[in-house]
This record gives sequence, C-alpha cells and structure tokens, in this order.
Amino acid sequence: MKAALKKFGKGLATFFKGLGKSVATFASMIYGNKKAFAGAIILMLFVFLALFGRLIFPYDETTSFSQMYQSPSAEHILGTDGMGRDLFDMIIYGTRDVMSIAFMTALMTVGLGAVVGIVAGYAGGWTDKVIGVVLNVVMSLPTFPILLIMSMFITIKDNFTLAVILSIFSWPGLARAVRAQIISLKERDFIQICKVMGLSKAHIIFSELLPNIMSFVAINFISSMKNAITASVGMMTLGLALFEPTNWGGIIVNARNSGAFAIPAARLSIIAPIVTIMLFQIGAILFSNGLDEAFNPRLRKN
Amino acid sequence: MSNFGRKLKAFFYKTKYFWTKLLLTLLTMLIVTVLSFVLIKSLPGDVVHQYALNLQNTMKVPYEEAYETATRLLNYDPEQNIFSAFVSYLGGLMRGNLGQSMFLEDVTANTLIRDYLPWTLLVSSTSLFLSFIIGTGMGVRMARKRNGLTDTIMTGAITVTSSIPDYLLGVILLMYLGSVAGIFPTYGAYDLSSKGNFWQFLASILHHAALPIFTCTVAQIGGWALMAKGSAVSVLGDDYVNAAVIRGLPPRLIDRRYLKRNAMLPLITSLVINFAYLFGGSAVMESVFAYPGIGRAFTIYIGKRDYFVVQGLFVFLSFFIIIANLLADTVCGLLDPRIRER
Amino acid sequence: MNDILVSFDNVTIDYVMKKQSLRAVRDFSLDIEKGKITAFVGESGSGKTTVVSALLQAISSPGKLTQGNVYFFDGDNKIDVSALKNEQLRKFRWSKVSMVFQASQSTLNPLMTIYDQFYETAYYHDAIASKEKFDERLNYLFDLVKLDAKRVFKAYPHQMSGGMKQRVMIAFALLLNPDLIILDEPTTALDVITQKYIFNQLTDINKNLGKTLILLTHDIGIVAKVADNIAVMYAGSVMEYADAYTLFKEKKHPYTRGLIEATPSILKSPEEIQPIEGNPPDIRNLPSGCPFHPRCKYCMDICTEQRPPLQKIGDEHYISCHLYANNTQKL
Repeated sequence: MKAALKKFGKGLATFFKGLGKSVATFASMIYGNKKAFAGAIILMLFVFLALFGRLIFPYDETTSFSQMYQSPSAEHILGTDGMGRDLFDMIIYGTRDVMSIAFMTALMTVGLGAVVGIVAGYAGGWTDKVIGVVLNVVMSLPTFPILLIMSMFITIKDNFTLAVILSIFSWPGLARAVRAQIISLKERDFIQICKVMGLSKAHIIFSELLPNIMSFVAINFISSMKNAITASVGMMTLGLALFEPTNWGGIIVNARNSGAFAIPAARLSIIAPIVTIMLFQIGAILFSNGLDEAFNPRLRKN
Repeated sequence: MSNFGRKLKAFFYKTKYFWTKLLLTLLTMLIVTVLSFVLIKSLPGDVVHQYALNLQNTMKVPYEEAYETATRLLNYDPEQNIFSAFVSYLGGLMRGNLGQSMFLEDVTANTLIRDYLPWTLLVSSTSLFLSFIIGTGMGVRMARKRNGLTDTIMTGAITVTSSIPDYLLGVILLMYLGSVAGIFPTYGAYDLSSKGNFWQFLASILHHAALPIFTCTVAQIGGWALMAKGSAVSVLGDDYVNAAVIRGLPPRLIDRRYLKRNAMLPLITSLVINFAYLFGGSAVMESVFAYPGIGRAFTIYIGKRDYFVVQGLFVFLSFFIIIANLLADTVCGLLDPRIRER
Repeated sequence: MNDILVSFDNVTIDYVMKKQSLRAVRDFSLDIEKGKITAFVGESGSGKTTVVSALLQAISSPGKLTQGNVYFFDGDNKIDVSALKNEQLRKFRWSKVSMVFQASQSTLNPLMTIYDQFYETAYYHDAIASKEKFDERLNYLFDLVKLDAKRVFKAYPHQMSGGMKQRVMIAFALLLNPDLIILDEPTTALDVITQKYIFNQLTDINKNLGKTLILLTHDIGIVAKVADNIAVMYAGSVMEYADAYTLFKEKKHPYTRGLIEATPSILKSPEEIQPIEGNPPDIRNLPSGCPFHPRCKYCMDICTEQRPPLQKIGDEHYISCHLYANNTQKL
C-alpha cells in the first residue's frame, strides 16, 4: 500500500515538474515574440475583466423603459440598451459569462483531445487503430445538422451544457493533430535516448513529450476559445441556446429582436458587442499567430 | 493464382485508399440513419396520435383510418417492434420518401429541398468560388513579396476580417446597407413583384443575393489567403524548384509546373472538401438575411417541431455532406500520389 | 599541359544583405583540367559550394559575383559564364555543365514521374529526336547507374530510397551529355556501402565517358581514393592546390597537413590523431592577414598582417602561405 502511494506521489511529482517545464518554455516563447506578446496582453485584459470587471463597473439590472436607447453620454459611455440598462456595464458584466463558456469549451476540447491524442500516438498498435476509426467516424459526421437536431430534444439552459455541446464535435480534430505530433516526436532521438536510459513512461510523457507539444496545444486552446465564442453566439442567434441578457451575443440578439435597426442610438447595442468580440478575436489571432511563428521559424519575416 | 486473379488483387491493393474511404463512408451513413431513426423513436409525446387527430379533422374519417393513414404517410408505426420499424424506414428512404410534414399536406422534405436548396447553392458556391480566387491570389502575392507593404496591409486586412464571425458581419452590413441606407433588401431571395419579367427577376435575385454572397466571400477570403501564402512560401523554399532552374528549364514552365501545381495542391484539396459543406449552407447566415436556403428551412421546421420533415432534411443533408467528403478524398488521392501510399 | 575546361579568374563573391555584406569567396583563381576529377576540400562555410555554383550562375541568394569572371572552354569557344543571360544561360545550363546535389536534398518534383521529368528537361533543351531514341538513351543511362529502368520510369520520387534517388540524379546529370559535372557532397547522407558503389560509378563515368568532374566534399578519405587534383579551401580562399599524390605526400600548407593528420586511419592509433586547434572561421569577422593564422602552429608575425598570395611552388602546385614565400621552403 505504502509502495503504491509512493509511486503515485512520484508520478504526480513528475507530472507537475513536466507541467512546470512546459509553462516555462511556453512563457519564454511568448515573451520573445512581439505578436504573441501583444495578443497575450489583450487576452489577459479580457481575463482580468472577466474576473474583476464587475467590481470595477457595477451593473445596474433595473430596467427602465424611459431610459431606452439613450445616446452615449457622460453617464452612459455607450448609451443604453432596449430596456434602459447601461450598455458599457452590460458588456463588462457579460465578459465573465462569455469567457467562461469559451474557457470551458476549450478546456474540454483540448483536454479530451490532447489526452486521446497522446494515448493514441504513444501507445500505437491496436489502441491507435481503434481510436483512429472512432475519430474518423466522428469527424465525418456532419456537425451542424446534428447540432440542430439535438436542439429539438435538449434545451441548452446553462453555460456548462453549451460548452459540452460545442466541444463534442471539436475534440476529434485536436486528437488527430496531437496524435500526429506525438508520433513524429516519438521517433526523434531524444525520446529514444530516454527509453535507453530507462526513464519511466510517466517521465517521458510528462517531462519530454508534453513540453514539446505545449505551444501546439496552447495555439489550439486559443483557437478553440475563438471558435467557441463564434459558435455560441451563432446558436443564440438561431435560438438554440438560452442566454443571459448581458452575454455579448445576447445583447445582439435582444437588440435585433426588438428592432434595433431602425433606431439610430440603438445600433450601438449591436455594434458595441460586435466590436468587443472582434477585439477578443484579434487578441486570440495575434497570440496564436505569434506563437506559431515562434514555433515555426520559417514563417518569420526573414 | 490465375493471372487475372493476380491483376485483380493488385488493383484492389493500389486503390486500397479508396476502398477504405468508401467503407468509412458507408459506416458513417449507417450511423447517421440509425441516429435519425433513434431520435424520432424517442420523441416526446405521441406524435402519430397528434397527426392522426389532425388527419381525422381534415379528412373527416374515423380515427382508426386516420391513424393508419398517418403511419403510412409518416412511414412510422409506433406499434411495430424496433427492428421492423427500422427496416420499413429504410425502405421508405430508398423509395425516396424523405418525410412528410405533419402540418402542411403538400410539404415533404423533398419539396423543401426542391424549393430551398437552390438558393443555398447559389450563395455558397458563388462565395466559395470568389473567395478562393481572390484569396489564393492574395496569398501568392503575399508570399512573393514578403516584408513588403503589400504583405503587411494584406495581413492586417485578413486579421480584421477573421476576427469577426461571418454572420455578425452580415448583421452589420444588413443594418447599414440594408436598413439604414436601403441599398439592399433585407429579406428573401427575390422580389415577388419582379416575377413577371425574366430580366427583372434575374436582377432581383442578384440584388437579394448580393449581401449574403459578399459576406460569405469576405468571411472566407482570409482562410484561403493564409493557406495559399503558407503553401507558396514552403514551395518557394523547396530544393526542387531551384534544381529545376539549374536544369535550364524555362521560367514560365517552372512557375506553372513546379511552383503553382505544388503549391496549389493542398489548396485544391481544401477546395474540394469545402464543396461538401456547400450543401449545409450556413443556417445562421441565412437566418440573419432571412434568405430562404436549406439551412433556414431546417431551422424553421425544427422550430415548428415538424419532426418527420426535419428527419428527412437531416438525412439528406448528412448524406450529401458525407458523400461529398468521399468524392473530395478521392479527388485528392488522384491529384497527389503521395496520399495514396498512406 | 592538359586542356583547361574551366577557369576561375579572380572570383569574389559577396553575400549582400541589408545591414552588411559578407565576403564568402575572395580572389579565387583556379583552372580546372579537362577529363580529370578535381576535388574541392574544406569545412562547411569554406566557400566551396558558393564558388562552384558560379559555374551555373546559381549562387544562392543573396550571393553575388562582385568581381572576376568564370570562363568555360567549349572547344574553341571561350564562354564567360558570369555574363550569360536569359535564353543563352538557360541553354548553357545542364547541357554543358550539370550538377548532382547532396543526397538529402529533394531535388525532384514530387508530383511528376521520373520519366516525365527526364523527358521534360530533354524537351526544353531540344534534345529529343524521337521518342524511341530518347527511350533508348534513358535505358542506357539507367543501365549505367544500375537502376531497373522499367521500375523507375513510372515511379514517383517518394517511392525510391535515398541511394536510388542519388543514382537517378547522376543519370539525370548525364542526360544532355555535359562536359562537366559538379558533385556536391554526393554521398554524405548515404551509408558506406552505397557510397562506395556510387563512387565506383563516378570513376567509371570519368574514365569511360571522359567527363570532367568537380567533387565537393569534406571527406579526405574519399578525396584520397578518387581525386586527380585537389584544391584545399579555407574561409573563401584556396590554401593549396596540387595533384592528389603530391598533396598527400608533401602536405605543405599547415591547414592541409592538419586535415590529413586529423583523419582517423586504421593504421594509426587513436592517440596519434591530431585535431586542428581553434574554431572554424566566422566570415562576419575574419582574422586579419592569413585567415588560418589563429589556428596555425607555424604562425609568424607577417601572417597576422598580410594575406599570403597564391604562389606556384611546383609543377601544377600552388600554395597560399607565407612559409613558402619566394619559393623558399621553410619547412
């Protein structure tokens, strides 16, 4: 019993050491590249807003039709929405909602995809073949029709369910890519050396392989977040998912439904959230492109 | 083994790539069919009963007869055990019966496809074609003139267009150019009043399709440009291009057969794969523009909970996407000999 | 005195970049004898590939020939290769001079069959009289390099092994019957057995077909076996040039001596191997005077100040070293 615990502890230690190594390599890459750094700053800003935005810009939920669609003023920087609420505060407040959806989706997609990919890539043989078939089939399924059909039966009421639905179709793609990376890494000399030196499997996987796919995983994580936002807002537009009125997509949908097109001041309710989304996406694009450049010297402007 | 037998075996081996893909395709189609069948089976409430009641009212027949008609029209009998129900469902599919609407007598999945699909195809194929041509042109130019002003401007433009979800771009354009400026119509595929005159009709169609096509094109350009740039850059750096120059081959030939052909290959692959998705269209985009495409039909009838029609549309769409994928993979295998070996 | 096929005349090649200009080859003058195998020996960065690429006007960008000329003697015709342009250059390439690249480089179009690629080159050099004659020639060439023509014709590059591809490249180099073939480290990426095989073929091509070969390598062993003349290069200049026998026997230049003595041999014990001290030269920051002086055992004061000129110290024996100035042998 004690021996098993000890082994587990050792494995855990290796895992964290590997994780630490990965994060360190990763951080240095970001710092080195201008684009990635800029992108990272933007993303950090959004994370910050998601966590603390509500404290800095308190959101007053009270609806007041007399205040409907006010033009921007000193009191309401971006004006008000269809129900008299401060647009700017709503956007800040909704950041947490949007970020949590994106984050959860990305976490599930990347988590599941990476794990399956590593297993398939490292184990090889029958495991790999079986997983390969499963991946192929899931990937050939037409995503959108299935999503629409599912919406007939399941109403998406909370963010977590939404995240699950969104990640169901994205993880196989990542699994396949990770698997390909692992396979190419596996054959490289430094892994062979580890094997010859008799290092444990845990060590090889966590301390050697993981850091090397880290930037790849990070890039995909950010892309996943990016896609999650686009997809979730899309689903809100179609009425497939319930949403908070402060969710950026929610603001847009509500505005459209209440005829915002016609009222000049109301158009801000549509433009502002869209611009916010764009800002996040730009941050994500800069970050992943920058990382990609750092990872792949050929892409650099030389 | 006879010579013929041996040749046959060699043929199968060489085209092994294709057969594996075919098998996978059939498997996926089966899964989709089962999936759609299972979904209907697990419908809440007694759908057939509702429909039968409906029929009873409209046809003015006794309940039992209405019920029987209902099961026949819907190709679904809840009484049957699941296996024979599945078989009869398959039979119905093969006969081309994709699904009958429960609310509108003359509407079936087939009629919906006939009425809505062409519009989707109009918008998606035009935008795919335009974005491919413009995008790859941009990409190749960016690859040739790296570090230049062109590259920076184009990269910037691409970053911005990629940062906005396509349908949101549609919302903005619709709002400003449609609602506010009134330059473009805000819904529909054409103006009903123009149906009399052929040219007016044509103009009306183009007028209504302009914004959707524009939006879809802009949304996709970035992807093609980046792909083309990446591919061109990697080919430019490849040894065989240089080797061809040293062999004294004319520059035009090298451009065509060594640069373009090799750089375009992954792009053609993507293009063909994208063809598959033409059929699905973009339900969200169509919803934004209230454009009567197949995605929109899908959404509307799902909203109505018109289960059987939806099931038919689902099966149709899925099958097309799956088959188109198979064709895409086959074409890729034909174009690039390296893929066949895998 | 044998016929000269190629003459490098004071060739200087610079890599011209935005912020600086690096001199990769400096004042290079050498004559290549017809019908012989001349080897250029030197470390990576010594300039051997760069200077030889000038023969095909194929110096990799941003390299430029800033001084001097390269002449090719085609019968009675003296062709200034550095001045050829467009169509003339295109015709010159491969028909008079061809090249076999390093085995690791993928120099064949992955999307065309081998047959098609050969046909294409011949076609654009107006070298196809009829399909039958062309097929005959291909069969002959593949036979020469011991490849199964039927199999290779229809094959794509990725379907062949490294050794096979290299043999295809040799056949390709012979296609238009050029007078000179340049071989850039032709066997570095291959195993020893294939190496020997290919070198046998190369010597055959030289002896039986009378082709002049320029061989670029860093492997002294190969050079000893195969080369007729050897040019030892360092930091973009010729250190010593002589026929193989003389070079190995006399090894006058300290660098030459260092190279030879650093080579492992089954006759010597490992302790007797003497590596050359110091580091390879940094062309951004070349030493003053003789570029080899920081690593030279016999360095004198003058070596740090003046570049030794290339001097003739024997019959077809040239050296660039202050030790042998004015033909006085100090060693």
